[in-house]
Amino acid sequence: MSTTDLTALLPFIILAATTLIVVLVISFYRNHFITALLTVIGHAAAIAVLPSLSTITPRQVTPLMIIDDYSLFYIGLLTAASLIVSVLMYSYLQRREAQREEFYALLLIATIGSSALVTSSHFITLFIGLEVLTVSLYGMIAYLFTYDRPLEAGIKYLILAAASSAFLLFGMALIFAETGTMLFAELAEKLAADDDLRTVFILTGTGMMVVGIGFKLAVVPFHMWTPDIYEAAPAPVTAYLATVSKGGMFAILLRYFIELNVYAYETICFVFTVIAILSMFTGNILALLQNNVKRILAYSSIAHLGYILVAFLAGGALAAEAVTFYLVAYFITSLGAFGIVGLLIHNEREPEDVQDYRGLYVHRPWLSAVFTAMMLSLAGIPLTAGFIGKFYVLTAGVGAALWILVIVLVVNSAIGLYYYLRIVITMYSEPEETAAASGSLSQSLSVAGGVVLAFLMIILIWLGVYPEPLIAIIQDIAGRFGS
Amino acid sequence: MFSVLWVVFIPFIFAALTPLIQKFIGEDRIGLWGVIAALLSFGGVLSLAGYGLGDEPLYVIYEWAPTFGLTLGFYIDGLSWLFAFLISGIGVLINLYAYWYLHKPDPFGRFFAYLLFFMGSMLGLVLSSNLIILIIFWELTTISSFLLIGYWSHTERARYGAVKSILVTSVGGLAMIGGAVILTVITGTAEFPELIKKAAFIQEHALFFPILLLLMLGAFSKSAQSPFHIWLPDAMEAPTPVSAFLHSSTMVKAGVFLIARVHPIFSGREEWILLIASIGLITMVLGAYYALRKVDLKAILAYSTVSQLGLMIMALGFADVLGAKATAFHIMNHAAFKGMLFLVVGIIDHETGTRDISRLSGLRFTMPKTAVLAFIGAFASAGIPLFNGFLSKELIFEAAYDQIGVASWMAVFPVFAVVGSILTFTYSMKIFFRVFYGEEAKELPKHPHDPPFGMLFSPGLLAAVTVIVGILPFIAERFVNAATAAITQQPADFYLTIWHGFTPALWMSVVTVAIGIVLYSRKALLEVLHSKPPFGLTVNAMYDWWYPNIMLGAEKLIGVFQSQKIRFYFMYILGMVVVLCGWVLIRDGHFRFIPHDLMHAETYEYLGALAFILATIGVALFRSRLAKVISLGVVGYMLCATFIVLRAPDLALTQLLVDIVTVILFVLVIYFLPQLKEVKESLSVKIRDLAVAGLTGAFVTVFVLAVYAHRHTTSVAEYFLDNAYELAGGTNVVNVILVDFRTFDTLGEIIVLAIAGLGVYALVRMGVAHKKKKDSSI
Repeated sequence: MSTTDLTALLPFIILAATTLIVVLVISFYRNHFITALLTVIGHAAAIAVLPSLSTITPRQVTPLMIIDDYSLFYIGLLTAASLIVSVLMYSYLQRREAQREEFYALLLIATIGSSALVTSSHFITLFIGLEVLTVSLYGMIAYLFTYDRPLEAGIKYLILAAASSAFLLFGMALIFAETGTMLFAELAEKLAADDDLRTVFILTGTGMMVVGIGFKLAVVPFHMWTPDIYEAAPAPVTAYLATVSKGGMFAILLRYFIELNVYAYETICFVFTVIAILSMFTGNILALLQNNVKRILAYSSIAHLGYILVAFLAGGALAAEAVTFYLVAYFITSLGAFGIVGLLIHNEREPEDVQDYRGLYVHRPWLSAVFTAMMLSLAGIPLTAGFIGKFYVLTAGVGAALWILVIVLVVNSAIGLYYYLRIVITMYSEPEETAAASGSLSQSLSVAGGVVLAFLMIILIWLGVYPEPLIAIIQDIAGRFGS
Repeated sequence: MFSVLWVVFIPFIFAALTPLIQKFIGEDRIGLWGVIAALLSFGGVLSLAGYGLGDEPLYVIYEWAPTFGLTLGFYIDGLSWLFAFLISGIGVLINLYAYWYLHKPDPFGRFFAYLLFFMGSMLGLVLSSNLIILIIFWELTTISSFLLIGYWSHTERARYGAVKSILVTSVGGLAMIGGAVILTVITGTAEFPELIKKAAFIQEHALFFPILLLLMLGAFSKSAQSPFHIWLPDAMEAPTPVSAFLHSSTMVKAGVFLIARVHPIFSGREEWILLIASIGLITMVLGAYYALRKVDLKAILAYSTVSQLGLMIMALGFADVLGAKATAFHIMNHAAFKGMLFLVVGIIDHETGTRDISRLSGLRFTMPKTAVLAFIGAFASAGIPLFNGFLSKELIFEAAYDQIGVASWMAVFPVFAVVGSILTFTYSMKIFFRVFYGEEAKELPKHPHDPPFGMLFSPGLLAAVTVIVGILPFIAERFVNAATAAITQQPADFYLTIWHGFTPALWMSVVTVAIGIVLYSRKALLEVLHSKPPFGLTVNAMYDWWYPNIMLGAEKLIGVFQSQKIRFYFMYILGMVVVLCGWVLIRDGHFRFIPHDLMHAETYEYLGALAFILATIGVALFRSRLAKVISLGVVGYMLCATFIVLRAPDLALTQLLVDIVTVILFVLVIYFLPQLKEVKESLSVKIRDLAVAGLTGAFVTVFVLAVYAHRHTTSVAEYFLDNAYELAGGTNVVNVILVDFRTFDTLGEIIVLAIAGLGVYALVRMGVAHKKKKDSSI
């Protein structure tokens, strides 16, 4: 391992070092603010070194990890999301009775896991990255273990995630048994060289991996955990689940598919097509009837993953671009939406019911403007990042002539509109004249949380109005990668 | 250039700022904010008049996301400018009217914000040069219409109407997106000026009709053409200014606008005439018929709007210059007189408290000014000379009559146009004479009187336009010519006059009025029309059946899939694995495994396997928790044994430790756990569970066997054995691996242990701190 290799791993080293420092500090001096501050600094430092690393990319660091522009971009995205979650969680934990400090160690470890996941060029890295992420998530979901619901959610997630990981492992084992290698590059060579290898083992092996991957991505029919766990976990953790956990998995899925040219396997593409269609319909139709904001967002995230799969199935450079752009937009909106839910926590209760938001605009015009922007972006209304993302996905889908998927996407965008609008309309309805309603909506907000939300909204609209700079960056990293 | 963006975005910006402004100027005055926004936008439109009325259209493009061809383009020609003029102009009047119309406790701010949001969307719709962008604004108008219909959301009817409108129009909108996508794919552009250049190519194309049909489904649903008309009458639950603005003078004309916009691209083939003119004709007659049957003033106006939209669409369907001209003129005239009639009905409703035609009569005594307005509106609608409706309707008659020359079967158009107009004449008379003549009505909910000046101003202005254009039609010439030129893409230079001589169209008007008078005055004839069973209601019935059933279905689906029970979640995941991989197996057929390779097992191995199986079954079947744990332990130990048999003592050792720790942990916590509940499962549930478990088990078994037959792997051990001495100079291979080959791993392990130790230390400290806290609190 050379110095350059270690340089390439700098983001990991910084995050790991931060974790160690955080654990050390907690051991000797418990202070919520200092712990959170260290976490934020660590994240920021990890992001700060990323641009300078692009001079040494692409670099294969051991057979296990590849640091190229694509990995760097996703490490940046995931770390930035994690940074935002840490700020949101700081405001959240300030209002709750708990041992607060350990959360940040878990968060950092989960982020290291997801960053490792996106750099993997080997099944082992994929699996270990995934497990590091998942095991930390058990702790994060059930972090407020003195409450029943997060605890139940944590256990549910543990059992289902463990089972799905087993399938992932089994799938990898099948592929390994057939090809004798776990390196993506070698796998790709062997598959390309030998048509006979496209046997039932590769297919079923990938099929089993789909179970593990599908569970992480929460696409139908592996989505059942999503609403339950989204609802019960602390809102910032839900944001983390929705963004970092899914985003990391999607990034590696895309890399795997493109490097191995899995697109050549009709069967697997068919399976993903079915998954995409089911996810879009199930997510949107089930969201229609919900009254709980977190559950609505959970179902909507299922649908959004379906949308991303449409771009994903288009294949080629455009797919990588569209997926990446959509993920950025989706990250921003998810963080914003769950961030607001978390910021409004009051009296040990998150405002979960749609009715809790009635009249929000009277008490908090700015916050309701941010929430509106997030909802409109999720619905894909123009001048938000979500619209550009959806248009990108549609372009990719049309370009690859995936007509059925494109039609399903359009139909579902229309369905989705209703429940997003419902939340918006409720926010702008007249408030009820009860003390309880005004209580949860009129308390003071944390400054840090407010700043983060304002930042998210500015980016959201900026990307919606003037997306070209980001598109240029994405084309640069994804275009080269996908071609 | 700048003013295009100004026109479209001023309403949006003002709408977004409404909640904030409301805080400063108070809710009562927020209506003025709406008026200011509309005026600014209207001013912008006027500043563009040079392009709208001149010969040279304005075509500006703003780059948005050029990477995938997303540009924000605006195209201002006679057609789009005419619409923009009507939208912003009537927008000013409606905002002004609503300022007086609304009263507490309705939330004012929300109303004006929605109204401005609609205005911006509608302006964007008509001004955009790009079909895709047009559709986006189109959907925004659908949303704003939904919001405005549901404004009085406390009433059941308003919610029903809002949902119905958005469902019906979005179905059409979706079809339209499909058409737009196909069109864009085959031509490579969505810009109207480019599409017009490629008109010949498109008309030759094999997909011509599907594209046309899909686009027209959008237009028909938005413009309430049969059978999509069902949403418009229910949309009348909106406050009257909204009905006047959206559901008569502007938004419902979006379909007409789209047809006019694509006229130069698609017209010329027979399908165009067949599809568009026929639907227009059917809608026109049906709408007038329903209008006649209604007693609610707003319902009459709603169906009347449906019918008039049909008339315009029919004229556009003729695909000739005269039809285009007649439509352009009628769009203006209808916007004026129908918008005004709605506002008048709003006044009547506001002042008397009812809109029921059977309760209202003799209002001319108490509301003389309103009566004058109603008179103008009703007579214009009926198509009486000296009012603008007469002029444009006669043009349409003329266009319809000309169709006889094209094909003889097309004589149905002039004939049924007259039939529809007779019905129109009759209900228009009803609106005026029933309400304002006869004996003065008693027992009205309110004591009627003329409204304040503010409410009379807007309809008054529209009435003035109706009369002035009716008498001096040349005023409208430039508007009509510019729009006609835009629709037909040929220079247009017409004169509009009242008197054309004794043309067929005039005779058609005479017949209309004559039969209309007879029909209206003979009660018996009217009765016949009223008593006939409604045959068009089936569409409504279909909708009413379909909507709740979808909702019910969705609820059931949730019940099945989202039980919140982890057991079912597991079942779905396992079931999917079996189905997914099983399907692949069946689909792609073969998999190899060599039976005799599996046969040579020793007796003790069979015994071990048996113990394995029995213990696993035990975990599932034992009733006591302790027995389950012990059974699970046996499974673990059998796994250890397997590792030993396979000559992997280190793995076996690890497994053994894990198992011991697991069992100990279980036994430790078992004391705290509640008793296992005895759950009685029905036989079918048991069979189902057994089936899922059995299938999964069988499936995994088959795979393991297959994998076993497929081993390609080489052992890593050989590498270390060969190289340990050479590379690292050690003979103890295990030591060499630990300290040389895998130095970093070992370092990592040490670090992990250190971190774990620190974590434990922190936890212990936490426990101590807790204890101290507790002790001190005691």
